[in-house]
Amino acid sequence: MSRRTRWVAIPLIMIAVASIQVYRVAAFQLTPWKGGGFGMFSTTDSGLDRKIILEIEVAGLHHFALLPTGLPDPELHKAVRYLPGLYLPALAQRCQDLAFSTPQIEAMQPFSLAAGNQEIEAAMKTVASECVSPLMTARTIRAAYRNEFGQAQIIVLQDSPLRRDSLCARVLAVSVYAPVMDASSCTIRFRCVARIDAPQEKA
Amino acid sequence: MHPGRWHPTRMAQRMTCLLFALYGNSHWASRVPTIILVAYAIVRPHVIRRQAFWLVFAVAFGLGLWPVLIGADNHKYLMLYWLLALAICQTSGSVALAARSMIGIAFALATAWKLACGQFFDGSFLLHEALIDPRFSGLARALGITAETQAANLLAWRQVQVHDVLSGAVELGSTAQLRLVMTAGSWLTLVVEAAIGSLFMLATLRSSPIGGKWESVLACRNGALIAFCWMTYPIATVVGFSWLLCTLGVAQCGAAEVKSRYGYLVTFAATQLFTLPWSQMLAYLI
Repeated sequence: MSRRTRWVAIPLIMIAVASIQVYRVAAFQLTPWKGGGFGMFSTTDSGLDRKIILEIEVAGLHHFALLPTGLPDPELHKAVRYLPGLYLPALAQRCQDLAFSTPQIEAMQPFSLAAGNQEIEAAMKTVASECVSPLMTARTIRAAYRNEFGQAQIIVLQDSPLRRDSLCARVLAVSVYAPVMDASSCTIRFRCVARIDAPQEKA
Repeated sequence: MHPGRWHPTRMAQRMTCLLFALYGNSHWASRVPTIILVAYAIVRPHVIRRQAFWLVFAVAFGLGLWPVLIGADNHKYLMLYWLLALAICQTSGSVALAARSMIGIAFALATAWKLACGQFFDGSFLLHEALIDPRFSGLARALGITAETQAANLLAWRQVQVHDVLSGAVELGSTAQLRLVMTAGSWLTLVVEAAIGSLFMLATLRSSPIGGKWESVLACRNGALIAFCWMTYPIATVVGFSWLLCTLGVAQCGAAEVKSRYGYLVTFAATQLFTLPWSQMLAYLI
């Protein structure tokens, strides 16, 4: 490539990256907003509003639960939202390590906290913002509860492995949903963009 | 290269330093070297003429972009391409062609995606933004959406996100006037973006040493790009993208296109004014 034509490398790189992005959108459900293909502001499915739904079996009954933001780890959660086709299998695998429970929502009401205890306050806000689903992960539940005297007790979120015998539910499938706007009826609904059956453990 | 202070390439290189210092990658791996390199360029201004400087810049920025690539915005990619262009192009003419082609391809791809996704042409996307995105709240208020409706829309949107992802559909409050404006705005955006993409790509081919023999009726490309910036960024205040487009715009200007160059510079400066809370002010006045 001569000195005068070296600039051609730039548009060629752009087209190559954009081609990869188109392939990833088609094959791995990458949001058009990401990946260097310049699909931003073209669809309501920006990736930010994608939701991860777990299909769970509890005592023989099927439930659907919204996976709280940041679980099982923030990077994987984000990667699944943007590129589910590639990262959903890893998430489904990791979800097998989560323990589930069916707590009472009322136990999650905000408590009055000792002033100045910012760590507890931050943990409480996290819990409050994540308590959005009838079924919640044990890791979230362990963050706040009332003791036998009715006082607020906080356990700051921790990464220690959960006890396997605490499992009372198992994940059957994991799906990713994206919002779609219909201008004629002015309604928003979610549609499934990716789904995978969770790997089941051998007995 | 001409050594003149107001030479397009020099000007674009200085604008690039400012762009990366303020709106570069926030990851430490590129933020720290970026600040060091920009500081060096301030102390030793002649260094921006060296390709090695831009190569180091590109490597540092690329290394910092890699860990966050999956969530990176498209203009971060474009910023990396621009650094690479400055690193490999040895003449002002080559830099101009690279910048011109980058603008052309970026806008062509943006137009293609807007057509392919199917939510832009009928106004769905812009209507969604107008009803949900706080940046559009002032515009929505001007088009008949009340503050109560906006609050109800936001609440409904949050509700469907946390409770009705699987089965629910939420109806948002709107007005016929807003729908009409958003649909018209969608078409206008498509036309302008397609025009910019076409004009810049044709301009690249016309002036390329390896390209065809396109006749020059392409001077209006600069006006179209400047108009796009004034039309888009007061609402969607992505300052980094606007600054990058202005920088590329300056870099690709011909020696005779002095007015266009000043147009880009004024837009570059005005983008900061776009970040003032105009939407909230408008909403307050209404």
